[in-house]
Amino acid sequence: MSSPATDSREQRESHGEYHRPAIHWLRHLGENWAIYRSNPMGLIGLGLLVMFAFMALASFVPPLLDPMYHPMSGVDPEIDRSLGPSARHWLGTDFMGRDILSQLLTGARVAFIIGVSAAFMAVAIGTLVGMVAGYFGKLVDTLLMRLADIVMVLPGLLVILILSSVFGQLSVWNLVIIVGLLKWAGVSRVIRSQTLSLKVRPYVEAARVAGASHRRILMRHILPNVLPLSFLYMTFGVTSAILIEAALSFLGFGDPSTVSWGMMLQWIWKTGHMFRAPYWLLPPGICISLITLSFYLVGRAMDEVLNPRLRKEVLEQ
Amino acid sequence: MSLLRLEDLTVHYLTARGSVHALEKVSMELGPAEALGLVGESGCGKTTVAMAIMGLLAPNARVLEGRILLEGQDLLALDTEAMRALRWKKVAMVFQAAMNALNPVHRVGEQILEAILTHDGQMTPQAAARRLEELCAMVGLEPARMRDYPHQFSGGMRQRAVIAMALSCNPSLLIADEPTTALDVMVADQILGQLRRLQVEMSLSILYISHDISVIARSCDRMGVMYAGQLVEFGFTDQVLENPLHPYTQGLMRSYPQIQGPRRKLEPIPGEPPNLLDPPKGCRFCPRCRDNGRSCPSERPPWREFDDGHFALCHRVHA
Amino acid sequence: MSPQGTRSLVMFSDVSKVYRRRQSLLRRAGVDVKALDRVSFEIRPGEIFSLVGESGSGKTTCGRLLVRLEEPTSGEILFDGVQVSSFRGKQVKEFRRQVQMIFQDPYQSLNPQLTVFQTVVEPLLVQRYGSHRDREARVQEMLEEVGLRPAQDFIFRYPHQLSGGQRQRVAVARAMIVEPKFVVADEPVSMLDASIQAQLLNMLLDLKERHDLTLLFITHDLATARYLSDRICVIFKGRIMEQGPAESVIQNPKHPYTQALLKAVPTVSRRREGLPPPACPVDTLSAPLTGGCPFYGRCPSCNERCREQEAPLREVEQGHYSACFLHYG
Repeated sequence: MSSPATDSREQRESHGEYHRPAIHWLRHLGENWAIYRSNPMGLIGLGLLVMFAFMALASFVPPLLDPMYHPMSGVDPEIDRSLGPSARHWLGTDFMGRDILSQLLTGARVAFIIGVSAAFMAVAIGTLVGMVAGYFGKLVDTLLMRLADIVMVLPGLLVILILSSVFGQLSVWNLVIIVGLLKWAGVSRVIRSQTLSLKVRPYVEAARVAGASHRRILMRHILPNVLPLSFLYMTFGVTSAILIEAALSFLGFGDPSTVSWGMMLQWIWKTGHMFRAPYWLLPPGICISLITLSFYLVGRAMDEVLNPRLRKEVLEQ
Repeated sequence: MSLLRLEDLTVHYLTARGSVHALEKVSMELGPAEALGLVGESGCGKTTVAMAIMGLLAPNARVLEGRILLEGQDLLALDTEAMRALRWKKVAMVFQAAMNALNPVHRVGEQILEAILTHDGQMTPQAAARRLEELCAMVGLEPARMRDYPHQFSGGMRQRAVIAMALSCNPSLLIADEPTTALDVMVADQILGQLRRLQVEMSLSILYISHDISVIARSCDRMGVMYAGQLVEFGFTDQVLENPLHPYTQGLMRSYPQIQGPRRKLEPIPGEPPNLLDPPKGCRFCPRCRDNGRSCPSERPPWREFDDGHFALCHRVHA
Repeated sequence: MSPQGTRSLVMFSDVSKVYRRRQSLLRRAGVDVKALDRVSFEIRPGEIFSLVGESGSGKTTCGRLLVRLEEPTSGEILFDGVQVSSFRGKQVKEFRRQVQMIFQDPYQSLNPQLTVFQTVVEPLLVQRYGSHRDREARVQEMLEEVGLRPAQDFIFRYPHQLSGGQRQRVAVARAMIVEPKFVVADEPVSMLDASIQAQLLNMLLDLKERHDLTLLFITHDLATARYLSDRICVIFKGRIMEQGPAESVIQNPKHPYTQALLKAVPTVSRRREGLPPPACPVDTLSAPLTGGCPFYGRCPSCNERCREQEAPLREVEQGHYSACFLHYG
């Protein structure tokens, strides 16, 4: 047998730790966190997100304390109009005497649910379509991409407005599904080009030569390399979904059975309190902007984690 | 009288995992109109030497010791401005895979003109055009092709274009880092031939850097063998090739299959090069060497001269 | 073309591969790239057959057609007497077990997300080999055989934790683990350092002996081809120029292209003279390929006839073929 590749002990140790996949994955996470952490924008974004998550969880608390704090049905027996902040209502009350803070917290919850679900759906569909189109090519690719083109070109907001005027008020979950169905096209294009470039990599060809089935190649070789991109697009998708929901609610097409920030803005406007009650107007507006910003910042920082070329080398002095 | 002289050059790279001992006390010299070749495998430090001479070391590099004397002037003592003025005028470089670095959206002629004009802003357009024609003749390109885009040029032609750019300011020293990798054998032969002609006609000194000994054998008057950041052998090309002193050089020569002569079994050097984050204390080649002595693992070998001008870094070599 | 009694394992019969370039969906005109032009050769069981050529010669395309990564435009490719393109269902799986490939680029031929174990075990999973324990044992055995010892140290590593030479050994292990009969090695050592190249070449020789392999070795380096092979085939611009026993082709080359290649091969020890100038120089870069010999314009012995006509591959000596008018009228 020809000379073996003998690694000296020092070589083995310095080639980096080599552990079972699970431990390696955790270590991978640790390294990625270090990279993420070095980006101040990412940390701000993450901090904001944590704050909003906390708000969403905290939304369950006020009604338990006292029924009058319920965002929809809570009525303060002593107040029947919009008043500024007080000891009892930290942010004040809306035109019906309902607590604004409680509504704000619930709005956070709704924003997360809608945002994340709709984005997840759009990205899941987009990734699947992109992978299939890119991998199989030819007719399948042409058909799917033309479909994506059509969907991409549809005026989303208009479609939703038309649908809601035809079918009546849309519930939160209807909205999630519709947004998901409208937003997958952009993701699919990007995933498709990534798939195209992965398809010709030698290790994929090696799998083909070994006789791997299409399913195996897609799941084992293409999908794991495409997922980082999908995650990235999810963060962008969330901001999009939240803004759409806010816009719809503002226009009066939201789900009347829950409170959302957009809904709050609608009430402010409809009841003529736009310029009269800043304590009511500002919180939801600021929250919408901030949550959008936070997801965007997280997305930007994630980009650095996922794309090694963007990283700055951490030096030892 | 040497044009270029390196004395005890020691360079480390700082990384998150520690210091990489990229170069350790590298000393060599190159005369005017002479071709010197540095041969070694990946990671041996030969490109670092080139970058150090050009003043293009990465930001995390630290020169711990040594001098680089170009016509008597220490390049390491210069500040960035002074170095920038010198770069390209006195010493120019053709980088690895430079032919891929041509801008695909500009015509080749424009790019060479840009190199000419960047370093001599005073030139008139006519003078620049004349210079362009001169350069084409020097490197073997047809002036009529100057209006083409890089993708219309073959690999060999692109390499000639890049060499023309490097020569635009008439440097005294040209550094050619892997000038023929990725080129077909016959095209590579032509390029090396052209460079040799330039060396003679223009009194140009060339520093060749390659992992392929045969490139060095064909083109260089003197050669140095690098291993793990150290220069392990140095001398006239004929000397080194006919009578390799250092066990690494000997092993390297035994690793190449030959066209001529009987078909003998290759005897590759076992193992792999050491990790430069923590190189061996004594001789760096010791773990892979056939001929170990008592002092090899613990003491740094001496740099000794054997024949006239033939040096080796080894405990065990006898004249 | 094979002597009596030796059935060839692989046979290329008038194989052509053309890549059509369409300018747009509507216009059919476009420049076609002829990667292979009626290529014929055969590989005998138990031999190492080298296909030598420069970049763009079509040598890699031959390998890819053989393992069915692509389909030929015309001609037949036979494996063990059966047309490769005719395999269906279970036959395909068996074919995939018997024929494997080693790729050129050690940095791209391993999936960066998979460990060494996951990469090497995959062919076994596809072939549904044994139990998990059987597979583990087999992977370990294979890794040790290619020189990655002790195997325990390597199985959980990721590609970026390995050197180029080690990665290529993993690639070889992956190809060999299903015990193929035939392996296509596409420039497996050209991206490695000299001393590592030599290690891997010796390893390939050992594996070939031990497992009675037949190897198609694709390379641009005649010296390496000479070291490894029993027979050498020289290809240029999609056509076979010369073919014959290795020593015969190297010591006594018949075709001017082979002679030029040999002159241009760098040697370690001796300084070389330049190549002889072409007899009928032509601006090869702009002139389109005419019907004649592809080496016209660079050949020191070419004439007008070479420009019009293409010389067929004919036997010049025992087992030694050349495609040049010089050898026959």
